[in-house]
Amino acid sequence: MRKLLSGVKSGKKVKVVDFIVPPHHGVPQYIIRLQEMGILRGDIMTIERNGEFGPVEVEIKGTHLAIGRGIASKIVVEEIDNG
Amino acid sequence: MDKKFDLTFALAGNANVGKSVIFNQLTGGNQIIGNWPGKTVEIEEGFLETAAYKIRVVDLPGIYSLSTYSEEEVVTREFIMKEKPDVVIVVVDASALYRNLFFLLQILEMEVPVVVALNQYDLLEKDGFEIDIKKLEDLLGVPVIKTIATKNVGLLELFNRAVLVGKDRIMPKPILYGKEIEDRVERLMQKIPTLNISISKRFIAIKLLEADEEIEKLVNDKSIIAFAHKLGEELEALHGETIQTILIRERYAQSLQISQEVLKRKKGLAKDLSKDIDDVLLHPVFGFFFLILILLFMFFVVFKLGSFLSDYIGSLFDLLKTPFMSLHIGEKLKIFLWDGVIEGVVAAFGIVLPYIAPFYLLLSFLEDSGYLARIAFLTDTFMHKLGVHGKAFIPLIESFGCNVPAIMGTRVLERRRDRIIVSILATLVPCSARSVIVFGLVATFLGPQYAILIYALDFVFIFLVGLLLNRYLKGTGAGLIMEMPKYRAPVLGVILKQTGVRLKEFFTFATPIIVVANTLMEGLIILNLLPYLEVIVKPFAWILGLPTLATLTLIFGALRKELTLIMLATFYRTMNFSSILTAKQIFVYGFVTMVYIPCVASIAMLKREFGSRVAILVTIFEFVLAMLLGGILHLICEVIL
Repeated sequence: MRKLLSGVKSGKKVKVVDFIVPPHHGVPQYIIRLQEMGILRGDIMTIERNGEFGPVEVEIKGTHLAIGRGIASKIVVEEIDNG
Repeated sequence: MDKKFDLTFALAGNANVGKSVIFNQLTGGNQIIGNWPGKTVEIEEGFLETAAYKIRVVDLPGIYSLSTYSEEEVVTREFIMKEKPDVVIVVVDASALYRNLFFLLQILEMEVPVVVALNQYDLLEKDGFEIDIKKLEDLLGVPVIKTIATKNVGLLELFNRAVLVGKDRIMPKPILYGKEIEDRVERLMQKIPTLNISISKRFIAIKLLEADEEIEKLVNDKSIIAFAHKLGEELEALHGETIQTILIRERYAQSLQISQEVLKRKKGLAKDLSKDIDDVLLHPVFGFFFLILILLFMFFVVFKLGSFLSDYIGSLFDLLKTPFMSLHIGEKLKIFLWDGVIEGVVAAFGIVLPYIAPFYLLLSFLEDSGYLARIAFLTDTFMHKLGVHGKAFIPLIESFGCNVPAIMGTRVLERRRDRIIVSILATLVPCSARSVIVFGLVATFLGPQYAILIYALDFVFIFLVGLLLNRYLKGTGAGLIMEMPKYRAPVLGVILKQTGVRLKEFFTFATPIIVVANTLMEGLIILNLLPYLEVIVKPFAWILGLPTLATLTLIFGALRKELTLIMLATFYRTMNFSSILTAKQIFVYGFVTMVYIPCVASIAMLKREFGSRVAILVTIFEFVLAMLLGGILHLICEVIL
C-alpha cells in the first residue's frame, strides 16, 4: 500500500516509490539532496523513528538520516510485508 | 636535487568521518573538530614539517556530494580544480563504507592524485566487520590506509603514502560507469577542446552531461553544451529519470558493488546502543525534558564556575594595578592606558573568558558525543515556525556563550536567508556578558524571579522576531536532511583542542575590537564629550523612563554589554543600584540591555558574514524594536502596575 513517508509507523520497512514534485518548477533541490544522501526510487529503508511530530529517522545504506516532516511528506513509499 | 618538497595535501570527505581530527593530528591543531554534520565550513590550513618536507595541509568542508547545491560543495570543487593540491586525502568512514564511497567516486572522477584514509576502523570492527584493504586498493586503483585518527593509528603511514603519491603525481584510473553512460562521456570528451584549464576532460564531460551550470560556464561553448544536453536527454529517455538522478544511481550502484566485495563479516553484529539511548533522548516527552535538563545543567555549571574564575582573575589584575599606577609616566596617560587599554584586556580575560571557556568545553563535549544532532532533531518542528530547520538551534545555544562565534556558527545552514534569520535571533540571545548584567542587577536587587521573567520575555521576543523575519524575508527555508551520527564517547584531548580553537577564534576576532572600543570610550571621557552625548540620549531616556545618566551607559554597552553595569557604577559612584534606580527602572533597564543592539564585535561579525548593508539594517532594526518595547514596558510598569 502506498503511503507518504511521514505516515509510516516506526519499525516498518518501506520501498521508495516516488517523490512528489511541484509541477513546472523542475526538480527541487531537496529531492536531489535526498538522492545524493542515498534515497533513490526502488531503495529499501527502515523507519527507525516516526512520532506524532518532529523529523522522521530512517536507516538507509548503513547510516541513519533525519528527514524533516515537510520533506518526508513528499516521499511516496510502499510498505513491505513482514517489516 | 632539492631536498625540500612543498606539497599540498587537501583533506576531503563527508561530515562525521573524523576529517578534522586527522587535520589536527597532522598539523597540531588549528581547526574545530565536529561531530556536527557540516561543521567544517571554512577552509582551514595548517603546516607540517618533517626533516625532508614542508607540507601544507588544507581541510575542506565536510560534504556528501560534489554538485553545486551548497557553498561548501562549490568551495571544495573549486579548490581542487584551481589550487590543484598534490594529493587529495579522501577520509572515509569505514563503518559507513557504502555511503562514503559515493563521495569518493566523485573525487576520483576529477582524476587528481588520491589517497584514501579508511578512518574510524575501530567502529567498523566493533560492528563485527573487516575490510579487505588489498582488494579495495585494486578496485579503486588508489592507496588505502587503515586509520583510527582519535588514537593516532595509521596516520604516519597515511602521511608517507600521500608524500609518495604527491611527489610522483600518481593519478587514479577512472572508475567506469554503465556502458550507455560511458559511450556518451567518450563522445563528449572528443568534442571538448583542450581548454587552458587543466581539469580532467572526463570530469568535465560527466558534469556537462549532468547539466552542471558552473562547468557549462567554464566551457562556454554553446554547441558543446547543446550536444551534452542532447546526450543527457537520450539517457533520460532510456532510464525514465532525470540525468542527475541517473548519475547518482550509477555512483551508488558502483559503491554498493565495491563495498559488498570488500566487506567481510567477522563475527556477529555487536549491538549499538545509540537506538536505545535515542528511545529516551528523542522521546516526544522525555526527550524535551532531558534537553531542558541538560541545557540548564550546562548553564548552571558555566555560571558557577564562571563567577568563581572571574573573581579570581579580576583580583589577579587588581594586584597589577598598584605597581602600574606607581610607574613614572604622565598621570593622564597612565589612567588612559589602564582604563582604556588594560581594562579592555581584563574584560576579555576576566569577564568573558571565565564564562565562555567552560561553556565551549561543555558544548564541545555535547558536539563530540553526537548529542547536538539530537537537539536539531528535537527542535526541528519548532524551528520550522521560524522558517528554519532544527540545525539552526545549535548556533542559538552557542549564543549563550558569545554571539560572535554563533553568527559564524550559522554556516551549518544551507541558505543565506536562513543564516540571516538565525544570526539576528542569535544577537538577541543573552550572551554570558548580558547574563552577568541580569544576574548582577535584576537578580540581585529585584530577586531571581524577575531575572527569570526577563529571560522569559527575551525568549518570547526572540520567537516573535523570528516569526516576523520568516514572514517578511523573501523565500522559504530549507527542510532538514541530516545524518544522525552514532553516539560516541568524546575524547578529552580532542575536546580540549576544539575548545582551544574556539577560544582562539574569539580572541583573535573579538579582543582587538573590545580593546579599541574601550580606548575610544576612555577618549570620550578624557575629552569631556559626555555632556554632548547626554543631549543625544535624552529622548531615549524619556521613552524608557530612565535617568539620563543611566541611559548614557547604554552607549557604552554597545561596545561591550557588561560595560553598562560597570559604567553605571562609575557614573553614580555606587554599586547599590537600588539607590539610583527604582525597581521598575531596574526591570526596564535590564530588559533593554538584553536586546537593544548587537555589540560592536557582533556587528563586525555580521558585516564580515553578510556585508555592511545587513549589519547596519540589523543594528537599526534591533535598536528601534528595543526602544519601542522598552517604552511599552515602561508604560506598563508606570501606568498599569
